[in-house]
Amino acid sequence: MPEAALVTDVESLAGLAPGWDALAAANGLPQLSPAWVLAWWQHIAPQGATSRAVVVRDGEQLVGLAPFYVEPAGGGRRDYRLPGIEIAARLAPLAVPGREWDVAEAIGAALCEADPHPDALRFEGIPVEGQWLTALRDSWPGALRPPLRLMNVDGNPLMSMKEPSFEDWLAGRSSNFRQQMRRLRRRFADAGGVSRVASRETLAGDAATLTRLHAQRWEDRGHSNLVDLGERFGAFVVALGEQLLDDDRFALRILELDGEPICAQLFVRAGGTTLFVNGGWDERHAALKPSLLCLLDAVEEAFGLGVERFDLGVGVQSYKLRFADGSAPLGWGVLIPPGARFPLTAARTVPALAQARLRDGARRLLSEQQVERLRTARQRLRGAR
Amino acid sequence: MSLDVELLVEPSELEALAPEWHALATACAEPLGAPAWVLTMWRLLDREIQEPRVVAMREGGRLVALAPLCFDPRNPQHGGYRLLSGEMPRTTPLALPGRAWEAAGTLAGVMAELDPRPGAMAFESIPAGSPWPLALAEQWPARMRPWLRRYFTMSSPTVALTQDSFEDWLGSKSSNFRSQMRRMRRKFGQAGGSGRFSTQATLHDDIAALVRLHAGRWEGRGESSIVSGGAELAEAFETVGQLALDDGGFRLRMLELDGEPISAQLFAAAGGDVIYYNGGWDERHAQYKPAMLGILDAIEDAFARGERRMDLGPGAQPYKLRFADGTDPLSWWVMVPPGRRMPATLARTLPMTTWRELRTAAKRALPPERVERLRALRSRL
Repeated sequence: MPEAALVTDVESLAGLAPGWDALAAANGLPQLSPAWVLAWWQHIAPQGATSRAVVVRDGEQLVGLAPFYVEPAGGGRRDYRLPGIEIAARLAPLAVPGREWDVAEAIGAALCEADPHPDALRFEGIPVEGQWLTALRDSWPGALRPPLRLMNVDGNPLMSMKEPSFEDWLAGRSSNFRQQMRRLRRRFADAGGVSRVASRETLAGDAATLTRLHAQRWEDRGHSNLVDLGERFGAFVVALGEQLLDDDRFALRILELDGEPICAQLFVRAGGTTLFVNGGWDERHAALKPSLLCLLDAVEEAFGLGVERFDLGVGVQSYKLRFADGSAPLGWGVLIPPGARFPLTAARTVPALAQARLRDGARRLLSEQQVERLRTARQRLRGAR
Repeated sequence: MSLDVELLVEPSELEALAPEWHALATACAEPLGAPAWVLTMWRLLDREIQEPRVVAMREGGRLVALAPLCFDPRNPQHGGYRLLSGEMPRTTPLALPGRAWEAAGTLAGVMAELDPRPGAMAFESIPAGSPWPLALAEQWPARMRPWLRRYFTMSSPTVALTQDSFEDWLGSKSSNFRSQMRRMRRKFGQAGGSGRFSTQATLHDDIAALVRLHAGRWEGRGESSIVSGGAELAEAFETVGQLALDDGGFRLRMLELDGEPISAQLFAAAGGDVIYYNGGWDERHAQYKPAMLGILDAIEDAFARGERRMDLGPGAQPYKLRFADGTDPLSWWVMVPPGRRMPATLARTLPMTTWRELRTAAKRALPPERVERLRALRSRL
C-alpha cells in the first residue's frame, strides 16, 4: 500500500523533480511537469498561496503526485486547487498508469490530515475520460463519501499522430485541407515569410512577442487569463523555456514577415504528448492565416520528434477542428470532503451549480447562434469589468 | 467531424459486421467487447429476450465506434436498454482512441429516436474511467438533462506487463513473492502436476471441467453466473473457444494431476490486454494453490505474446492482490432520459440504486467484521 506525505514548501517540491518529471511524461501532461509547476510557483502563484502537494510513494518509488495549493480566500475559504489553470487546462494528479486508485486513496488520506482541512477540492479542466474524479470520491476515507459537483464540461480537440510521418498524415487528410495548407505555405513563403522556433538567445524577446500578440488579439474581444497575467506570463514562459528548451520539450514558434513577428504559438511536450498552450497573431496579416500555418509547422515538428498525441488545448475553435481527429473533454467540478464546514461549503457551491445548470439549459433550449450571441455578450461584459 | 450511422437489428447484419467489429475491439484493447464473445453470448443465451439495437458509427466508411445496445424487456427497472450480453464483466461501447465523446454525441441522437423509446439506459460493469455515460447525458438532445446515477463500483485488480520479460517482471516483485511462486511451481511439478492451454481438440472436455470445477467451488457459497448459466453457458463458452482460440482471444488454462483436471481458468485477450474471466479448482488440492499457479502461467504466456496488461477481473480477492500492481474498477450506471415516462422509470429505478448505494455506505461505515457478518446473513437468507 503506497504512503502519502504532504509537501508544504516549494523548495522540497523542487527536490522531487526527476521522479516527478517521469510521472508527467508517463501521463502525457507537460502542464503538470516540475518545470511548469515550479515556474508557476515562481511567477504566477497568487499572493499568499502555499503548497499542499501530496507525494505518494510505494517503498522508494514515487508512484503519485498531486501538487495542490491552497490560498486564503473570502470568508475563510480553504479550497485546494491544482496549479496552472490561468495558462492551460487538463490538470489532474499524476500517477503511475494503472495505480490511480491506490494513489487517490493515499491522496484522500493525506488531505484528511492536512492543515488547513480542505473545504473543497476544486478541479479545473480535469479530464472527464479518466479515473480521478471517481477514484478520489470513492476512496475518500471515512463513513461518508464526499459529494462531487460537476459544473461544466468543455471540449478539447486532439490529434492522434498514428501515421509514421507528417507526409503520411497530410496524405490522410481531405484534398481540400491539403490544398489549403500547401497554398498557405506557398503564399507565406512568396511574401518572404519565415517560420522559426525560439532559441535561448531569442527566448526573452519571443516571449514578449507572444504576450503582446496574444493581448492584441484579445483587445475588445472579452476576457483572457493570459492578458490578466501581463508580464508575469512572459516571465513564466522564459522560466519554462530555460528548463525545457534544450530537451526539445519547449517550442515557441514564431512566424515573421520582413523580420517582424506576425504570429507566436507556444507548445510544450511530455512523454508522447505535445500540448498547444496558447498563441497570438497580428490581425493585419489575417489573409495569411498565421494560426493555421504556425500550427501546421508545429505538427510537422512533432512528427519529427515521435510525438503520439497532439493536444490542441481546451476550446473547440474552428481552426483547431481543421486539425483534430478526436476530443478528450475536460470538466470543471468540486469535491466537498465531509467536515465541520461542509454545510457552508455545500451552500457556497449552489450559485455556481445553478449557473452551470442555467448555462446547460440555455444551450439545450436556444439555437447555436443565440448561444453564441450570449457568449459574446458575456465576454464583452467580463472584458469591460 | 460528423459520423455516419447505421442501426443494426437483424442477426445477419450483426454477423456481417463481425470482422470490422473485431478489429475495433482489438484497437480498443477490449477483449470482452469482441463479437466472438458478445454475439455468441447473445445468440446462445439471450436471443429470445434481448432485441439488438447495435449502432455502428463510421467516418469515410471506416468503423470508428460501435454501441452494441439491446432492448431487454426483462429489465424494467432500467427502462429496457442495456449493452448486449451485459452479464459479462467489462462490457462497454467501443470507440477509437479520442473518439468516444464525439461518438456518444452521435449515439445520443440515435438513442433518442429508438423504438421503443428508451425509458432508461443501463451500463453494467463498464470501466469506471469510461466517458460514455457522462458523454451521453451531456449530449442528450432534449431540453432537460437526463438523470444519471453511478450506483456501484467494484475493484478489478490489474497487472502491468511493462517489463521486457516474465523473468524481469518476476524480478521486480518482492523476494517473498518470488520464492512463494517458485516453491509452488516446484511442489506442483514434483507431485506430477502439469499445465496446458486448451486446444480445439481438448476444448469440449476442458469447458466441461471448467463448469464442474467452478460449480464445486461455489457449492454452498452463494450465487454464481456460471453455475446459473448451466449447459447453455457451457455451450456458449465452447462456441467462443471455437471462434477465438486460434487467434488467442480465448484461453483456457488447465492444471492437471495424474491426468485429472484440478483447475481451469478462462481468459480473454485483445489488443495487448488480457482479462481473467473466471475459473474453478478442486479444493482437495488447495495445498498447490491452483488459482495462483494458473494466473502465474497466464502471465508468463502473456509476456511471451508481447501483451501489456492483465486484468484479473472484478473482485479484489487476496490471491489476485498478490499479483496486482494496480486496479481498473468497473462501475454500474443508469441514465433516465427526460420524457413522459421519466417519473415512472425513476420510481422503479430509485429503490434499486438507493439500495446499492446504502450497501456501499454501510461497507464504508461499518467495521469489516460486521460487514462480513451481514454478508453471511444475507447469503444464508
